[in-house]
Amino acid sequence: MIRVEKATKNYQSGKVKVRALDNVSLEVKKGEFVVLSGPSGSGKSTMLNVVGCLTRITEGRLWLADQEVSHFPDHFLAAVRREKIGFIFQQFNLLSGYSTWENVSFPLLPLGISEKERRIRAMKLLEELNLETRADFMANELSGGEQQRAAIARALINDPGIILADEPLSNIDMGHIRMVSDLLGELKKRGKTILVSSHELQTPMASLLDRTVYFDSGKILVP
Amino acid sequence: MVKELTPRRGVAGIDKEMKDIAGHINLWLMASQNLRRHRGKSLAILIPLVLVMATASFMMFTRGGFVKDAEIAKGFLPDVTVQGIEAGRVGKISLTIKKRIEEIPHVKMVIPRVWGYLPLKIGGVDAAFTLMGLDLNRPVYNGKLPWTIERGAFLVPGDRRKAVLGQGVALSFNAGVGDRLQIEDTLGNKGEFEVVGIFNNTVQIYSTDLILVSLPDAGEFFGYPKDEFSDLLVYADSPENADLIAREIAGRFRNTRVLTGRALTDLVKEAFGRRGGTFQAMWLILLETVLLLVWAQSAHLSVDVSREIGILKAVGWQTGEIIEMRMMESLILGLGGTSIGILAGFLYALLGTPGISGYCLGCASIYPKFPVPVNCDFQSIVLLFILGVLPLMAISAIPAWLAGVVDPDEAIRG
Ligand SMILES: Nc1ncnc2c1ncn2[C@@H]1O[C@H](COP(=O)(O)OP(=O)(O)OP(=O)(O)O)[C@@H](O)[C@H]1O
Ligand SMILES: [Mg+2]
Repeated sequence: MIRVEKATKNYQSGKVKVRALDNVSLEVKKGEFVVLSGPSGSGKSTMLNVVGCLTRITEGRLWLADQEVSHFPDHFLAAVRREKIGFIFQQFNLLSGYSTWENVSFPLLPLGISEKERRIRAMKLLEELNLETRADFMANELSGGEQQRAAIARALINDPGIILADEPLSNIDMGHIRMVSDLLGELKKRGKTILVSSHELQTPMASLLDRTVYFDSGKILVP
Repeated sequence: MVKELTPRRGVAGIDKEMKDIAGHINLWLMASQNLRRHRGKSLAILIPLVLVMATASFMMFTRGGFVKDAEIAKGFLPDVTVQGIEAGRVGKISLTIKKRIEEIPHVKMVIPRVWGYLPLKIGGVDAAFTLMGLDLNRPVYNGKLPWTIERGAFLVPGDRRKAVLGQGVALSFNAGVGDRLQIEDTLGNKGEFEVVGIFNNTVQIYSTDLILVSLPDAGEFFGYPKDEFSDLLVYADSPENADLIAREIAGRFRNTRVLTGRALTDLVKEAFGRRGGTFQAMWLILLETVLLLVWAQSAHLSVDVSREIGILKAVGWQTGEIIEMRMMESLILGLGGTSIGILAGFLYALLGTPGISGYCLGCASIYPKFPVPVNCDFQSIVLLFILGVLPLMAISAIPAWLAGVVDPDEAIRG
């Protein structure tokens, strides 16, 4: 389902070159639930960005659903993101000028789905995440945990096959952690491939995990 | 392999093309919602745009009107106009001089005119009209009528006590074809005429204040002796000979004032052209201000804009779709602002340019009571729309495009 082969990602920040991923390879099968773990700055977010086609690797190759996408032009990558991937950002990345339900339904807009239908679909997910009372709040009026749950709803609205979640529980309180974990478990049951980053070794999702991959300084530690 | 991933637009059952159209409509709806949502930002662009377009359209319509007037006037003005001088002031000119001018080489035709200003009081307001008598037995202006008639007919040879009115006159007296017009000016001249026609306003600046009658009627009205006139319109066999004829007349007849047609129209054109130039400069400065404003705003917000574009791309929007939404916002703003501006400019010109008409009408002293000629043609309007919409669209598309070509991750970071 996901195959990263000898991927290297360099960032140029001013004069300093940062090697965020250093020749890493990873394979995740369809329906697998994998956690990327490791200390801060070890390359977990970078790995998710690469798999989510949000950034291009400097060297190496990437396959999604048996298709090599590393050489795809921008236009096709947008289509990949639209059809195959649900991405939950570490920083949530909601658009502040819009309401919660609008944020959740953004991926559907260019598909030509009517506003009414978009709202119905968004409300359904918001209910699952106990956020329906915040549907008409502006995104910037939400608490951190609420923003994170809205971001989760947005990632799921397209019913993607691959879910990439960057620290999805970092801002969520105990009560809602259960809810989000349950939702992820439910998605796993439906056959979704799930990749989650977490810098905590003991994640609350431990019971769902198929395996954990450890990152350190841009490399994957072999157990 | 690659083909499989072309943007199939989801949901089975509905035709792909229909989905595409619905997608575009969603983007346009979103664009208009965005404008309402960010009302402050929209107004910050809309208001200066309306002001600029109002100024620009006002300028274009009126300047166009003046230049067109001058062009048309050139077509029928005589090559040389000869006035008499009596005791140092403009006075009458006699039939004898007319006959002697006709003998000068290259002179094709000499048409005598009797005319004068009619100082009147209409509803307590001072107005000045021009009453002009023409020799109806002569083919007027090389056989081509200098004025076009909107209603009724032109005078025919032998007509007496009949008049054709300019629109300004008809309006002031509320007179129509078939009405009888009684005129008594503040100098005591009196006359009564039957209105047979009304000029249209293609040559408004020359005809709007005009009352055209037969030569003997005008003579009678102003109390001229039978063989004297106000001036003579001299037509040359070819325009190049106008100066030659003018010099010849000036040499032969000491008590005359000789004007060439070109000198007259050039004077008019220059007066209005220079005014137009001032407006043009003002307008350009304003336009520049708007562009700078828009630019400053988009630069100021560029981190936000870039982040928003990155996020939309990350959730599956195509760069083209984002640019389409942005351009649609500009298009709506541009079309709206330009339309309102043009309408405002047009109304302002039609209402007689309250506040600045004295300045704008270079010859306010000659035509004090009449509106600036308004000339609004299709081409000017298209040009105004292009000027109002395209720069705005470009200025909003460029940041969208710049942020759209980088990876979403990079765009989000700004
Ligand atoms: N856009 C960027 N430009 C420059 N350097 C970057 C960029 N993104 C990441 N890096 C660098 O790459 C390294 C890996 O970053 P990454 O965000 O992948 O770490 P992480 O494992 O997600 O850390 P955390 O647990 O704190 O989220 C870091 O040293 C970071 O400074
Ligand atoms: Mg991270």
